[in-house]
Amino acid sequence: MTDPMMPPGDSPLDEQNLDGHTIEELSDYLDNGRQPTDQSIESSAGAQNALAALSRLRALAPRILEAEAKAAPVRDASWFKRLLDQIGVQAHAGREIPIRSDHPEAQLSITEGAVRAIVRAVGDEIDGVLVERCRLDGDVETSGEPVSVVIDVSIYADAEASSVIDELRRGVESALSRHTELNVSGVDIVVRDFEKDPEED
Amino acid sequence: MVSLPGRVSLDDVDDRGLASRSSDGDIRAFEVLVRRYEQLLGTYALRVLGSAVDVDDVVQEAFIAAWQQLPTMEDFGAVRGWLITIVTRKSIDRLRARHEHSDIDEVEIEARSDGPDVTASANSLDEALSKALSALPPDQRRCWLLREVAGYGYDRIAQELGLPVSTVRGLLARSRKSLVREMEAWR
Repeated sequence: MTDPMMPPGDSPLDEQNLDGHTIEELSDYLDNGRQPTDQSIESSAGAQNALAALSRLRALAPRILEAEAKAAPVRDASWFKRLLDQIGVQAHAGREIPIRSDHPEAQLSITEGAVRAIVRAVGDEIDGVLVERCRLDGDVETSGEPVSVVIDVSIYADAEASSVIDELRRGVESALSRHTELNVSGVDIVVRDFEKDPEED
Repeated sequence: MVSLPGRVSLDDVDDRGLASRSSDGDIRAFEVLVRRYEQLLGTYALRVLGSAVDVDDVVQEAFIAAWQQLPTMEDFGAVRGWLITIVTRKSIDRLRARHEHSDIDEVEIEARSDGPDVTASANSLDEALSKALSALPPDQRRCWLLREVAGYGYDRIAQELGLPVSTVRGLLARSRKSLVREMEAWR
């Protein structure tokens, strides 16, 4: 559809079509949600055309890059490897959690990051739950101090939330007692999201 | 690739869940995010930088910074915009470094947009606008990307690009004029 008011090759943002307004002024007006109402803009056909064109362009903006990105080649395997190697050495290890030893000269410990990985791995063995992250509340660096474990999870629609949560709690308690000496005072599970099963779409 | 056998596949997890899990230190979850966004960030960085030379490095630096910042991220649902903000910063750092290490202000090899029919050979509106975006002078293109893709306001764009706010306003107006002309030619 071409506007009958405009000769061919003409654009709504050309100066002669703006009815005395400027692109800057009209862009600002649009950015402010057309508030406060400006009668000289609202009553001008030329300014209305320009605003409509600016709105259309804004709506198209995300599409331009998305379309280009889809057509862009995936980076090569060596790029991913370099990145993941870099990240691997910067793993978020967190605090050191002591482990008692029969040999007093040996200082054994496990990192907070390793404990979080244990918790995630427990979740990965249970259908319908994704362990997102977990937090250890308490003085984990002192042996025997009570520590509360707070876990954020997503539950998937085909899972029975209460049984999944119970299974996760028992699994985490058991895994932590096997792999650490943490004095776990409680395992709190916070459901952050109920996800639709992607296969049901 | 990154699926958990018989369990929830990380590929099916949404951005928020992946960012949350990545913040817990799971490199596999982060890798899924990287695969989801590397093309978009690369395309965006290419547009901001104006040449492909540094794009791979800039995107890599952006993801490393993202990994480091994840544990303190507040809104995991906003990961897309957050990544764009990070890659914007890395791209602009690179532009500044180029500027400092070069006598040439900036090598300008692209066509100007005021010539006719920049997009005559395009097959779709998206393609026409892509070409029109490529044809914009770098300053205009950067301002437009920071405004419309990164969502920055005038003040922030001015600050990031080291330009007066009035200049940013003018550059944005000119970029919109060129892009609307191409868009309207497709109506």
